[in-house]
Amino acid sequence: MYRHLTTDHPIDLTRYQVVNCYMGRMGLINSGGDSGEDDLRQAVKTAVINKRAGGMGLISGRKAFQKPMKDGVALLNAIQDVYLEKEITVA
Amino acid sequence: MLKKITALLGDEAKSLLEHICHTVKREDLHLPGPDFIDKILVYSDRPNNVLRNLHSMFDHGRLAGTGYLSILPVDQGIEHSAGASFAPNPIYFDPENIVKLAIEGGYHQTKTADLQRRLQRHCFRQNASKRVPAFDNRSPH
Repeated sequence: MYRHLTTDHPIDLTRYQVVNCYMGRMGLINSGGDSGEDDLRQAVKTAVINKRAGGMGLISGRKAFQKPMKDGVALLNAIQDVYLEKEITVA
Repeated sequence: MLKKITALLGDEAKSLLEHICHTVKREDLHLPGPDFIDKILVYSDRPNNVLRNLHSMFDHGRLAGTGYLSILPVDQGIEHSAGASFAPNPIYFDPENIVKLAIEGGYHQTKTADLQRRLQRHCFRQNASKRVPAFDNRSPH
């Protein structure tokens, strides 16, 4: 079953999540995960994977508020930039 | 904007930005967009109030009108203790700073006003639950 429906690529795996959300009729929101040293890159990567898989957005808390507010705002805006960037398309 | 994103992704950029899904094709999916509520959700059994709230979520903030959502969750005192969430930056024990982060971070005011109301209700419940045991202790049972 999984051989046909997904691969090891994170975008294909997340596409399978979207497929299980009634082929996208329910928007897929992926979560940001806990806060660490590489938050900005991790958050942007998760946003790219969610958007290109066909997801509807990101919910990110700990990565945003477990740091100085200025850095939290920058991280939230970086996530939004992925969704605003027209050249990042659905795969 | 794309250059910044590509730089951040480093050596994963090509694999993430150029990948094409051959498992289930994008043409077969219902994708997010400005008309998602009218095209998909309006035909479900969601009440008008829910659809209206969804509209207000989709139509505010930096992602307004795109069909995409960017959500700031706060589960202080609900799923985790405030300490577990806010130890790295204790200013967020004060819910007003969460609201400030949401506004500065490009979320929309309806949501933050709603958050404020919820926090107020939550504070009230916390206070109420503190009083209940004291009352029980005084009761003859």
